[in-house]
Amino acid sequence: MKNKKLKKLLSALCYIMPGAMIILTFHFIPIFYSLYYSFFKGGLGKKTFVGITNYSELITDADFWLSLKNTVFYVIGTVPTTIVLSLIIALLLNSKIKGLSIYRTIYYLPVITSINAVSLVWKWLYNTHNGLLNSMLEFIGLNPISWLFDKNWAMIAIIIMSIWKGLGYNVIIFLAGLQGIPKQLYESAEIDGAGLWHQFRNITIPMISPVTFFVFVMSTISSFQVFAQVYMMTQGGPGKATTVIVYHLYDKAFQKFELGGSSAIAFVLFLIIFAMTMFQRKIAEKKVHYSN
Amino acid sequence: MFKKKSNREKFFKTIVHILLIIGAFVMLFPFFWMVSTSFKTQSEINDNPTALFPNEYNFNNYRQAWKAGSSAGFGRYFFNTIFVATITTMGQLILSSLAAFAFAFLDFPHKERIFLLLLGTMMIPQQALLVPDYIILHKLGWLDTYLALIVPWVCSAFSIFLMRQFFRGIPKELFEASRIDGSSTLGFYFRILIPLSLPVMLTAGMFSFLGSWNSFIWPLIVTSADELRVIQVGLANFAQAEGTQWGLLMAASTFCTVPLIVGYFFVQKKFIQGIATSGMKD
Amino acid sequence: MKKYFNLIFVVAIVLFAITGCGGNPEEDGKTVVTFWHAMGGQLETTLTNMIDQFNKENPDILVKPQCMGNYQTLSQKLMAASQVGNNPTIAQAYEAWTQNFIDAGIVEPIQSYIDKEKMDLTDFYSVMIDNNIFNDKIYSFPFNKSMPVLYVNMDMLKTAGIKKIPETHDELMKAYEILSTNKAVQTMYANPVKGTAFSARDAWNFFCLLQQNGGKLTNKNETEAYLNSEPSKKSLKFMLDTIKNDYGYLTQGYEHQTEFLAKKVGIIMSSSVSKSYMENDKVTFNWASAPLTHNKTKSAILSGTNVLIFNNNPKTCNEKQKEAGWKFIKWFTDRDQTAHWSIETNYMPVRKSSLKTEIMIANIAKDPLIKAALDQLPIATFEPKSSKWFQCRQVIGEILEECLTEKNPEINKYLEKIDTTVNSILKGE
Repeated sequence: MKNKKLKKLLSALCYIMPGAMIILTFHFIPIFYSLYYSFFKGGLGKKTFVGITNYSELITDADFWLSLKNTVFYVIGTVPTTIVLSLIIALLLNSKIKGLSIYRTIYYLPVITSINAVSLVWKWLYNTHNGLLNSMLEFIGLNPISWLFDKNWAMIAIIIMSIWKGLGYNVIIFLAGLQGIPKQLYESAEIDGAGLWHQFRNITIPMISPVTFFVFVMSTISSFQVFAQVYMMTQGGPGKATTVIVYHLYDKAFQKFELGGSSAIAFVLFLIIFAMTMFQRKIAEKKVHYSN
Repeated sequence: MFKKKSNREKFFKTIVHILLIIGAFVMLFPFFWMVSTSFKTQSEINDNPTALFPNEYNFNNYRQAWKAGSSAGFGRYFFNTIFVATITTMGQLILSSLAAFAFAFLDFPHKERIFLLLLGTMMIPQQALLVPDYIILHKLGWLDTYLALIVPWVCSAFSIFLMRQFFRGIPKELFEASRIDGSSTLGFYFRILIPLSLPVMLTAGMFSFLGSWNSFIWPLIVTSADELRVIQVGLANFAQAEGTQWGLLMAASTFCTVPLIVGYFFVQKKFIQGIATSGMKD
Repeated sequence: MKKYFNLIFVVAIVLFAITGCGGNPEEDGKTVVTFWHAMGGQLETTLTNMIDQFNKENPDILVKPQCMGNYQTLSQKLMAASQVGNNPTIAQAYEAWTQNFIDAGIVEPIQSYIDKEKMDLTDFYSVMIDNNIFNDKIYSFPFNKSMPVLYVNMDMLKTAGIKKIPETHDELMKAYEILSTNKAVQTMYANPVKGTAFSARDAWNFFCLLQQNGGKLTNKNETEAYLNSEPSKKSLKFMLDTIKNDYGYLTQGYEHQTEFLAKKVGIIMSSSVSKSYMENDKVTFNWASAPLTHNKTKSAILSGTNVLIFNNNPKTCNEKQKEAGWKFIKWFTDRDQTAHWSIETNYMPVRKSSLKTEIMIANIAKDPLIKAALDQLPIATFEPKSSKWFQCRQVIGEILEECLTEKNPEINKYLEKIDTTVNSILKGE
């Protein structure tokens, strides 16, 4: 019995190992490096062991808590909106209409363009004095907003831009999922006289639930790690209004050379995301429908 | 009755078009602006930064940007980027799909635990991985070689997860039936699973290619020689602390993005065909 | 299936071919000095040309410049490299980085070369050398130091009827006010005009004001900050008045340059290097540069990086390489080269004698815009150098930005916040 189990494991490992070796070396071992560093102080040369000091310091580090709060705000602001919007767009793009290729390309454009170039363009759109967004607001008779220089708006500006940037990504995944749904299911439903909404609820939603689960988990994981747009557009400002965790960590590691402190933050972030993912899996167990 | 339905359908399609077009404008605009700016002279940009179209289309920025930067120039950067992205993507498709296949179809002990460990590797931000990975690459002696640019990215938990989710949508009976037919496990993988999963393979391939194409910090940290530099590193040259050369930056960003757009346009056509020809799903 | 294996095979061969070919014939027998820097764009062109010349003059040495894009990525790269001792021979570095590298014991003090050669440093501006002294030793050497100056849109001033470029803080504020309210100026262009635009995040601005108001940033040992002082209050009030009265607005980084070029603001305080960037972008109006305004004291704070020699990588930092690196640094800061570097980039020359070189004299005569920066060299100072100060200036920038973006901020509250935060960092809490 045990032997058989081992054999099964070994034969599965044949498939997993080639890729897993890479992941193990370059993405898994580094996590332990991070963990190891988090018990030391000193960034460049000699490091001194300090036990859990870096962690206990985090508890009183107001900047850390603020960055955590900002990150959670960002995650809540982006993830649900992105998922709903991208599912709607994917549904529209899954219909048989003319110019589908063009639409699909256009909706994917923001994903293709590098985040650095796109951030600069958005910074321009957000410009308080001659940015296009404010020109539009003025045109419809509203007061201009100083998007990136108002602590109440800066994070919202980052969120809007991030949703724009990330939509296409999820649309593609949803599309791939939608196209995998057997057409007979819809045909037989139509014969049974089911309406569009009914078809959506009873066929589409359950059939793409593995994909939705994937998008949900991945969006959460990557939103918790938001960095590039903050780095490019606000540098965490105004004040600390858009300082997110990874920005805080980056700042500690590469501006202040505190490798230990930044590793501790990275590890705490890891635990938070891990807990979130476990939680999502728990929910998913009941809701996600797999064919096999 | 028949006519009524087609009218309804027409109406429905018009609505869809209207919605999609509105969305398309929003999606397109920043990109449009990038291209439009790339044709403007610097004084034009200064004088009227919100102008939608350039006064005239001049290609000076393109000429200058292509030659700019250090000795190697964008020609070399492009070669490197295409080379690295292509091999990375091929690796991703092969290695990740094999692993995803095992996770989706095979039964083995600790499956879920191993899978969770894999997922865990996505939960540490890249900024925190840079230093450890630099050390590992140093120990391997791979710094400043193509290996450092390629090997760490030829397989990712992301691709495995993505593919597994889709593979799980394929009925397990197909797998069992193929085994009863005497087909080997690998045979099922190549002859049935992969052709059936073309959409997700293309999706994963695209993401991987894109990630490689747009990566900036990684190549910068793991290579120093100009001959190994990639396009994103070249782009950074135009955005200096003391001033951004908008025209050049936007021109360079445009010519770095256009190949991807063209590529994507054709891939997504294949994408639709792939589904049409796979047949088994309809 | 065979197809796939063929593919992998081809890939393996290509990989091998590309990574396997090494050995650069150029380097044969030469002492190679690797140099990591962050000078991009036109600065890189100038730097590369100068290095080529050095390599030509010194056939036994090959200086290999490697551009890291910008300062942030340079610091990331140095951080990673320092973990495994993969550092270059020489690199650009801010004072705070240098302090960290010194603490880690991986910097070769330049003092040792100076002592060995009994090099005379009297020709250098003392501020440039003092800026590189850590624990009583010269560790690094000035490389690209820039000077803040005012840039003024003379067409606007003329239209507004402002006769002379402001020299004091009061005159400056008055000029901001006139520029933002004068009807003739407001109808001059399609867009509304304001007095100025500046970044609060970069506390450089604030520090200059503070010193001009007769204040000091810290005590000599950099252990105590004086940021809740009268001069400090005046400086913050000056910035706040500019914003609150709508005589100016906040920007990020060097965007104020763009605003200035777009004729949306009349006067900006920026770096001497900005001149070459703005000229590159084409200035479409009459403009002038001027020394910073003052209140009690004339003062201008230098910024920019230095260059240092590493000692921790046997592949790039053996004795011969370190010496060759020093030879390059010495060459780069000699009279003629520092003059050339300054003329091309508008960074400051580091030697007094360079102002008397023919090319410099000719250039000053030709281009009045560079004079203001050079004139300020005798009054130039630098910020505290410790790595703790580096943290402080960042915190100060953040608090300033917070204060200036608030509707009705209480100055005293913010000054207190700045002072207590900074002092607690300096005391190492």
